Amino acid sequence: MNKIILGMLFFVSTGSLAGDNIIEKRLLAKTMFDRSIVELSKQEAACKAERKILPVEKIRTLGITKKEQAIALQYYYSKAMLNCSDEQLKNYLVASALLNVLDKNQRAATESGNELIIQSHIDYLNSEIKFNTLTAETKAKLANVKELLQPFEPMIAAKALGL
Amino acid sequence: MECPNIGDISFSQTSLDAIEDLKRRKDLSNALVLFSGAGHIVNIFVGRSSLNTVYSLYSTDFELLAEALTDIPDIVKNRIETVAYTTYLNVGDYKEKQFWQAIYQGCRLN
Repeated sequence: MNKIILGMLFFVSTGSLAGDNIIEKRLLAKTMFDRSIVELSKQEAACKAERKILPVEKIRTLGITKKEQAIALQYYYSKAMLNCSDEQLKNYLVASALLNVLDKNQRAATESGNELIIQSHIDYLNSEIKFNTLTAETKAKLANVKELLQPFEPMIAAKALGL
Repeated sequence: MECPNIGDISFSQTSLDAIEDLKRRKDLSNALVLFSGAGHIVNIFVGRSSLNTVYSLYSTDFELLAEALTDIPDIVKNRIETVAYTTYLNVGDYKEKQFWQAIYQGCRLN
């Protein structure tokens, strides 16, 4: 009789542990997901806060057209901002994938979240497609403006260039 | 910045596409619980006649938008700013540029 009770207790406790385990994992994954959004948001805010005023005179004297200037600003700005929050973006995507696997109920939220967050990459790809239409000579000229590689104030630059 | 009185504005296809993009981004953000406060991002465009028409935009419209934008998490706001900035660079009309600059800057009132 005692053996039967012990066996039942073992079964129940094992089953209970397995159940707790998945709930605990889901909770941890959700916490990780929420935290990754907060961290990404904080990092993007930090990236914005450190944006510099672009020395537009350097761009103006490159001898490239207004259209080329606009394409370059879009491309370099997207690239610089993306690079600045790259680590946090990757952490978010891992956390989202983890939550997606562990909790089907969160899938709608994670998938929509992913599509929203990944817009930064899509915006970058769109700008890269346009940037690739520039000649090698123009790209080489732009590559000399090192300030384009760091986050900069895009609207101030655009206005200063008369775009 | 002061929110501009743009008056009548005729949106180009580039702007119309960008507005649709903003709406889509807003819908995506709504699905996230964390973003539940972001329900009014582009309500400025809702309730008006269908797109592809002439709009009249005055500073009060922008004030409503600015008020809505203050409730939006930065992570969503950043993705709206990118659309606004990119569209600003890609439209030629002065009023459209004014409009997208205002969206970009959230018409932060003094």
